[in-house]
Amino acid sequence: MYFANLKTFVNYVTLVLLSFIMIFPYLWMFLISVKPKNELYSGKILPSTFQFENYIRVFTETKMLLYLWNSIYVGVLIIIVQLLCAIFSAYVFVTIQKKWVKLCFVLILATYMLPAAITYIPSFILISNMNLLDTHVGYIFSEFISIFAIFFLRQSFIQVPKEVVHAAKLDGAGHLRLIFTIYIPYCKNAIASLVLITFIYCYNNYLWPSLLIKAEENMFVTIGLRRLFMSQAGYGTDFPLAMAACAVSLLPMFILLAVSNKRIINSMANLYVNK
Amino acid sequence: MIRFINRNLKDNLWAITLLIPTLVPLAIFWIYPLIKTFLISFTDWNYISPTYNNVGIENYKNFIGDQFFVKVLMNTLVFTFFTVVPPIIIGLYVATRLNKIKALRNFFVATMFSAWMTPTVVISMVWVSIFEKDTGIINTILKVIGLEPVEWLGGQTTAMIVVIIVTVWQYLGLAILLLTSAMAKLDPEVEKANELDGGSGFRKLFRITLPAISPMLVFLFILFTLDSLKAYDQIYILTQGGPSGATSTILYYFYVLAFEWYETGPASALAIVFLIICLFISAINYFVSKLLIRN
Repeated sequence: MYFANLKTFVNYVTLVLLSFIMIFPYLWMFLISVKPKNELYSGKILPSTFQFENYIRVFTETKMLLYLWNSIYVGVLIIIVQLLCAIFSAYVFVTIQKKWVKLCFVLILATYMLPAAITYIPSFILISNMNLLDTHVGYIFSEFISIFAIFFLRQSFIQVPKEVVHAAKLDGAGHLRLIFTIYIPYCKNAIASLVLITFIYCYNNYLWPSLLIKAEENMFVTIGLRRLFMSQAGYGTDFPLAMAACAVSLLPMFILLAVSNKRIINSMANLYVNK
Repeated sequence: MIRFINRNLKDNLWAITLLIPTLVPLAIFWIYPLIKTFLISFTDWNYISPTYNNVGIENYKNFIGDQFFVKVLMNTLVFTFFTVVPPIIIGLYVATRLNKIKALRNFFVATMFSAWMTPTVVISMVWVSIFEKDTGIINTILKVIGLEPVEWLGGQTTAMIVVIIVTVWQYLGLAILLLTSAMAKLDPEVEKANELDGGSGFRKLFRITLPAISPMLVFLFILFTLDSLKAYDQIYILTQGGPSGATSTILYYFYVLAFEWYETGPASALAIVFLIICLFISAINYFVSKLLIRN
């Protein structure tokens, strides 16, 4: 018994240590962001006083609020567009068994394997020819569909019981009514997971949007932060300000994780296990 | 009969209408660019000039003698290997610990998982400040224990090490979450039987646990391999591919060729090479998964 307790104790100590390593970057970010400037080179790890001045500077001297707003509203629009497309096409793939529909599905399956990088050059030229470079519309347009979302929803639409669909059909329900009264309510958990995953993906996305978006007022959080970080590199980065900005940019993620960590974790686990 | 034809036609019409919002963007942003990239890869186009020549497979041939390309391939290999295997091994270790406790388990998983959720660009900046040569914590500790501070991002080997550490840290979040949930589904009876047989911890790991979660291991292996091949954000923020190309991977080289040097033709050829590598990995994934399912 004593031995078992010791084992549990060792387990907890190991896990606490590991968790500490995993969250250390966040702690460090916070420590630097509240450090007074003259203590930066002092070699002390903990600051003598907590100074929140840098957080005020993030909102007054940088366009962080604008970046946040851009990221969030574009993210929401992309979620809506991708979700609608995925719902419609997943419904067709599950319910309409025609040869050409199956062919379309195989086509989409094939694109799923492709790395997005291979499309960058032509897509970039295309968007610049449409005069949509440096606009949110151009970016949203290029992120119109998510092949992953189509697969994910198809997977959960398949699990809707045939009897329920059949009963609704006997009631005279058409395709749209089937989608909105049977499939969507039945798969609302899957859809909620998809919304979360899509938002996280959009918020974190960097390479492709950074190629399209150049003007400061159009920037997303990741692009704007990089600009903030690099533009001072010549004079030595203002680390306290940069770390405060990083902390602010992580806020939406932490709120999301705090509010729905169970859902995020479960959906992440299921997502990968069921594939 | 007429009713049947009508219904058939109606189904087709509905299918087309509902698929159009997906098929049109698919054609514009996936299929057309794929073909276009393939075609451009046989030209010497440089994006700015309005004209270009067909150069056949010249762009591909040039890679063979290109020292920098060989270096980039080696970097990609090293980076991929050291970012795929360690998270899985450490993840396995942590998952076995996590599955032995009850209280606070979800708390630990959520804490460790947050690494996977945070934007790579943002967290890479934090890592830059951790490894910073004057103010970073790593060098501060080195100084305290009497060692020389290291210019982490300035040296060829150390820069690669830092990029690998950051990537491993981020992958660990997902590895721990997925391995923990895969192990939680294992049958506790089998474990008890092993204990009654006098099986050791090692025997349990290699004979029982690992085979049972092998689909998850294969999945993580492939996912991390593809992610590492596509890694860009952390390299860009931490080292910009440097010093002197020491941390440039294939995708990073593609980005530089295409969007900094505007060598559109060679960049497209590189994209095709990259595509072939990714397809190769996906093919391995397909066959290994088939094999596992059969067993």
